[in-house]
Amino acid sequence: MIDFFAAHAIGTAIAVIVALSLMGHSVGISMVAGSLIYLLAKGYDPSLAPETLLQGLFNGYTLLAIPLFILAADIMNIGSLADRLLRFSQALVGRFRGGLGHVNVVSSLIFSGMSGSAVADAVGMGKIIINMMTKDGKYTPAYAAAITAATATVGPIIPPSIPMVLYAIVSDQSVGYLFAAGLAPGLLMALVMALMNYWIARRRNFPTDEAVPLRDLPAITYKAAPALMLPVILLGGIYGGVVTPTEAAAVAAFYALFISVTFYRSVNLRQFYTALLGSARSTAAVGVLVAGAVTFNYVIAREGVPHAIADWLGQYEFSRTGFLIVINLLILSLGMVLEGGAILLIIVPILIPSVQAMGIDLVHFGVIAVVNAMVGLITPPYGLLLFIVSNITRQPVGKIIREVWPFIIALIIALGIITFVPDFVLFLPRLLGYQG
Amino acid sequence: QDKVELIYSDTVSENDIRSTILQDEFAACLGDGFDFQAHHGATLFQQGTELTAMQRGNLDMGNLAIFDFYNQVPSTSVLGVPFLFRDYDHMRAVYDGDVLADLEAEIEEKAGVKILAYPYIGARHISYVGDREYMTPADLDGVKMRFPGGEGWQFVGTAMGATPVPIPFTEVYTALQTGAVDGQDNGFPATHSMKFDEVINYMGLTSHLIAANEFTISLSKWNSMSPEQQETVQGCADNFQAALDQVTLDQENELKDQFIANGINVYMPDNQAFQDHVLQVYRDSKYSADWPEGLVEAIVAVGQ
Amino acid sequence: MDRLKTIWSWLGRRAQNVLALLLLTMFVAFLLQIVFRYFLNLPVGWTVEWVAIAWLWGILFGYAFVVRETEVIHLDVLYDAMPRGVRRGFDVITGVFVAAVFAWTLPATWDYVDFMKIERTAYLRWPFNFVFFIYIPFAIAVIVRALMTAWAGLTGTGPRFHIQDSAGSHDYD
Ligand code: NA
Ligand code: NA
Repeated sequence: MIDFFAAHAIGTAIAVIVALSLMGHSVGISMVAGSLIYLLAKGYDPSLAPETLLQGLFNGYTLLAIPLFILAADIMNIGSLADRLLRFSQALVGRFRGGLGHVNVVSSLIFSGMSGSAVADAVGMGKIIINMMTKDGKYTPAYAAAITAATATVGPIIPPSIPMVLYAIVSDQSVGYLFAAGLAPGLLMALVMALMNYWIARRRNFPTDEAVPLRDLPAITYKAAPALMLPVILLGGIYGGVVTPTEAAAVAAFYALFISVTFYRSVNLRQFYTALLGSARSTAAVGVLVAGAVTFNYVIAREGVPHAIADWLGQYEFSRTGFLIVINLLILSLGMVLEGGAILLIIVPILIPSVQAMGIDLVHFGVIAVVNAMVGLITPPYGLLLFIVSNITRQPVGKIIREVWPFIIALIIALGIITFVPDFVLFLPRLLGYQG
Repeated sequence: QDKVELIYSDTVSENDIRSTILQDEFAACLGDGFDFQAHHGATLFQQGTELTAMQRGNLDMGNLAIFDFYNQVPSTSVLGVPFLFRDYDHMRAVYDGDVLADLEAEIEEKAGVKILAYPYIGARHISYVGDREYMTPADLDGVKMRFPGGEGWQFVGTAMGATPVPIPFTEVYTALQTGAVDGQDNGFPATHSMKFDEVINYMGLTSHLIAANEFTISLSKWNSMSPEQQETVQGCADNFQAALDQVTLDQENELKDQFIANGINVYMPDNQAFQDHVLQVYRDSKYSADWPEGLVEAIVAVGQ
Repeated sequence: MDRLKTIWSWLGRRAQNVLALLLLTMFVAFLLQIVFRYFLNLPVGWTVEWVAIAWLWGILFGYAFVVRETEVIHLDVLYDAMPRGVRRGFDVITGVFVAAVFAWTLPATWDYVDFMKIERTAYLRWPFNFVFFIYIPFAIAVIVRALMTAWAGLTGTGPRFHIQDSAGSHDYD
């Protein structure tokens, strides 16, 4: 009996995680419990689980932007920034069906220029836009949550991008060319999601607003101007060398607070405290999930799962197309259970030799891998972004999953183009001198 | 007889040539009596946590940096002093000789690990985005240089006259690109593998740190092996060190040519001015209090 | 009994104060870091370290003492589809199992946290057993919460986190 569990420790651990989560226990805690079960079954030191969790969070620098982007969003919501932005957006696109859905897509595009993290986008911009979309009941919270999670995947495709930097390190490719290669695919992803939003809005007949008279537009724009300046300030701050992308989160929160207090005079100390506490609670809830994923990485690494996958792939003689399809399916399904960083650092390095052997360009493959890892974040059952928007909207994950499928399909179509039309990905880097 | 299981963790990427060298020159050399399990890219243990993992019996071997020992064996900080070694040959002569015998004994006693070899990983130089050659510490005044995080590392930057900035490794590329920092201090291999050479236009060959890793095994694992097994492990570690040294030296030469060909101004600063300034700053600092009596002098003497 | 409740809710509010304060210090530390580096040309390192500590403590302290079960992220697809009796069964099984696993490994966990006193953080030079200590109350809170889940299932006072649709929301399909 004990021998059986030792021999199938990783299987047992995964079974425990799936069972506990499906039976309604906290997903993050279930992942820690599964990791502990693995260590016990193997007879290893059980303290490796808390050690991995603590060191992973303590050294997870790129995650530090999350709480401050949540805070920025909360301040924008209690101040009237979000309201003014909403009125401005409605005036511009409210008369079109699915207008705010398109605003959601565009806002992710803007946000992706400042942040290299999909999670930061979902919690930052996402929180504001979900509020806007659901305030007057035009969109269900589940739909707003689903489109927010889906569009957040664009963040790390368009530069700057932390996942692309991680990939550049493991694959020995140029960060600059990878950044350039991500631009067209990122825009394509935004386009297909906008089309999907348009189609759904037509089919479900989402209500529209009365057209705002043109003469009202200047006043509405003027009132929203300070809020509209936020992306300009952040982009300027990052590309002007004042702040790093992680620090930009703090600047966003500071700017929102500053504008709310000085221009709109709409935030008092009490409200600021409420925003702080609310953001900190969201951070803790999301953080426990991240902590669980980080802890399980130890199990994946210790068991040599990546090498097992590479060996398995090596048994077959794939054509180039077949190989690309298999790799896509593989990373996509891994993305359901692992967080994006783990895929890029643990799994991708081991696939790279076979990718090279297949004659696939490594910059092209980098974009494929990162897009895949990001789509994995919204693919059920374990999709970090799904859980995060669930936490923001207080909607059951199941409802969001029902709404997110069309967007996953749209993204997979984009992924198909990205995968099988290398020139689409590589023309920009080549313009910049890439010899691939 | 059972195989000796050796679990190894480092922070180098799986596809890095250093990982290949480890496989070819150490793992393959061990032979059938060993089961060597290498985990690269800090996937098993985070950078800097390998030492405690070894002490707790959860890891057998690692390739550590000298600063990893500082908390438990403060006297090791002497090996992290800039301009301690004149060049590669000096560094190699010191590690091959017996000047460090006392320090190594102290490490074994206090940290419970044994250093098998000191593979060379390259000299660190200053490289930056600028419009002129910085020749002396005074030239670095007000220049924002990224040095690795941690008090000890940041002090290297201060001692060299720069304004040290602790940007995380993965953010350095963007920071150089946007101008959040002006420069950084990795050697040729890391500057190339992290793509910083895409952004910088000057590289001053300060060689301020002739850096070697500490290829380390836990004492409990070491003592559990037979003398023959110990001999095998030590021999293969020497093998690994020799191979990695050669690869690093070759790489430095190739990359230097490549950088120059790509239009980077690679030049030789006034290193005597740097050395005088840096060693003085260190002697006046709290760090020199940790140094074993006379060791710096003994190390310098090896170079003469 | 009333007095106990008053003390309990007073403690709850103080825990909230601490959590909000942790985020506030993260916010301020990041701003200081920018000001010191960009405007004063005096880069500092302790800010990054403090932010990392506050992030770690914010998550574990927040989960242990502030966050309610309704805020924790659950996968509710199967759970919500089950009849009440089955859900109660689920709560008992998962609650007892998780409590047992965390309790069983608690001594080893303590051993690690305590062991880390030999290492210190890079800037503030704080012993790591202090920094990592927060995991202990976190682990105990996980055990207590899991037992409460099991108890709720046993006595039928659950489910504790089922999210009712708000009045304003409706499905289109
Ligand atoms: Na969005
Ligand atoms: Na981005």
